[in-house]
Amino acid sequence: MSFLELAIKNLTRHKIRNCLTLIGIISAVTALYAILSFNKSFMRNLYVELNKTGIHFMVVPAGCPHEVASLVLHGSVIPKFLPETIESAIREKLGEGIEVISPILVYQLPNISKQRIDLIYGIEMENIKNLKPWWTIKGRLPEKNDEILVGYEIAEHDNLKTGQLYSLDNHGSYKVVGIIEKTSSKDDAFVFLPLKEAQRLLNKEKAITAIGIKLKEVSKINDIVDYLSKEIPGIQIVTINQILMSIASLAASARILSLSIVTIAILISTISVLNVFLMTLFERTQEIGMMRAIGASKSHVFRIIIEEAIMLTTIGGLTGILISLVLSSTIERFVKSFMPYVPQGKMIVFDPLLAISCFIFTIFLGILAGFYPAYRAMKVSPIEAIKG
Amino acid sequence: MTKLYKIENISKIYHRGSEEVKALNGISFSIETGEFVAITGPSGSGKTTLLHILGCLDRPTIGEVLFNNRNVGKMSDKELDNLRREKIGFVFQQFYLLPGLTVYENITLPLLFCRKAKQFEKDYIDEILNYLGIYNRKNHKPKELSGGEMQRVAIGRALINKPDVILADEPTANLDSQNSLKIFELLKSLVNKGITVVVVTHNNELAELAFRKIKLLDGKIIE
Repeated sequence: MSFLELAIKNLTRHKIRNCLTLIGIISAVTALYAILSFNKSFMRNLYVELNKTGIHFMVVPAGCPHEVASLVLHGSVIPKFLPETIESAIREKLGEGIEVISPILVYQLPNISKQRIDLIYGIEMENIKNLKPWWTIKGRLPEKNDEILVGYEIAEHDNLKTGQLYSLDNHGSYKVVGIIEKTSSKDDAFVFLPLKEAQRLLNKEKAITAIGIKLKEVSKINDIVDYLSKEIPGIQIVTINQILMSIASLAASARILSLSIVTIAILISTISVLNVFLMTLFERTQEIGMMRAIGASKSHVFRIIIEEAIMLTTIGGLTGILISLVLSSTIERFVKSFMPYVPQGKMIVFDPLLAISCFIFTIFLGILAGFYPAYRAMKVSPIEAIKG
Repeated sequence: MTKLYKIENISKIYHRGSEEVKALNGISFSIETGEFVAITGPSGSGKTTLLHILGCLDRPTIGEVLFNNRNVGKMSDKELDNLRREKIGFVFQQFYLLPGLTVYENITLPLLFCRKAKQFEKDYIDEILNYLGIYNRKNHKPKELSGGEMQRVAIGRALINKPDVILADEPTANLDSQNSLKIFELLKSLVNKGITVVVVTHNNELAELAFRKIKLLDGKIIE
């Protein structure tokens, strides 16, 4: 028999108590791995997603950069408009330097018959592939003014199929020619129309919400941004990097909150392990005395207790990591529910470095929780212990 | 025969608050290798204290204990651990078997603390199990055993390291008379294997089975 086998056998002596402690550790480590993986993926996926938009900067009405970030990533509504002439002004100023320029109009349209608000997204359809390259569309892009593209949620809710008509209340009906596959973003809730038709429908002719721009030479972006800001009044230019930082700061408080909750969970489970092992020590004092009498040294006794604690936290740690991967979709949905914005892509993924770090951390927790009980056990007087 | 223990004028004094209690009061005696000695006396006479000192679990306040001509009082804690591990086997009144381990695992538990564990072969463990009559119970847990069987397992655990001496503290106190006699005879038979046996008991009838009796009263040898 080895010390490890003895530790396992001792742990199985109090099955219910140790199982409950284990559940605490598993929950804490599941949350730890999930949150760390989520946070790590957050910035990486955000960067990837922003790069996928294919634009280098956005021109919007002067205001809050957070609104711009939100607009770029999930089509939020900005209650301000730019005159359409800004687009031609930019074209004139930048000339051949522009690769893509895409004006968009985002607006909320009440739909009384359906008792909801339709989110309208007007865009020049030829630019969609540049702005939303990750979309998968069932059907095709609208080619005429009476054709629309709808998000996944709308199609699901209204049980829409391509070829059917979609009513925008008294504004008329449009033929659904394309349905976007689920994106898990606010794009799922939008109705996409050709820009001109959206402007007509919303009575916002000559108005746009923002202009996305992709340059031919990205190295010149800072000079161009400065130049446009000076040359065209009333606009705000936000680069993709600024949007990245803006979104990161928007999500920071939620991420800090989740990490704080995990830290508390870890602390509670560590105290719980410590408590269990102090109880165990009290119950096993005579046993420890016997072991000292039959030749166990103080260090042997210390090792027996600390190995049990490490074993318990290690089992909890490995199981916790595994559970966070198995339940990643559910955990992701839960975490996303209190995040202001979450980028596309899988957020909780197997990351060997993170898994190893969490595993080492659980071993450290075992040492931390087991150290004091093991130290107390080591100090048990064999005579007093045997006397009981 | 050679001297295994030489006890020279030892006293053990405890302090209970301001009160001074002399558990042992200037006792001297020797135990030869291969002896079967019974230490008797009423409760509080110092029997268990003496056994703990013989087992190197405790040190006398005054006096010297020589084990195989080595002064135990001058040994470090580590040396005492080694001495207990390699030369002394303990049998307790309450058996102190680990409930999560089988009979076999309980008996081999001391090997865990012994660096020379590998030299003990399965044959020797089987020999002990057969000798104690518990071979067919080797895979059972303590809760599945009778009191007599549990004490046999405890004796097996004491024998596993081939000790020079077995120290038994009231080994029959929790057993019926029939099992008590069997355990005593079993302990006595160990002498034939060259093992010295020292038993603390308050049962005078059983003590009569020993080669020699040391009777204590108020920390002194009276017989």
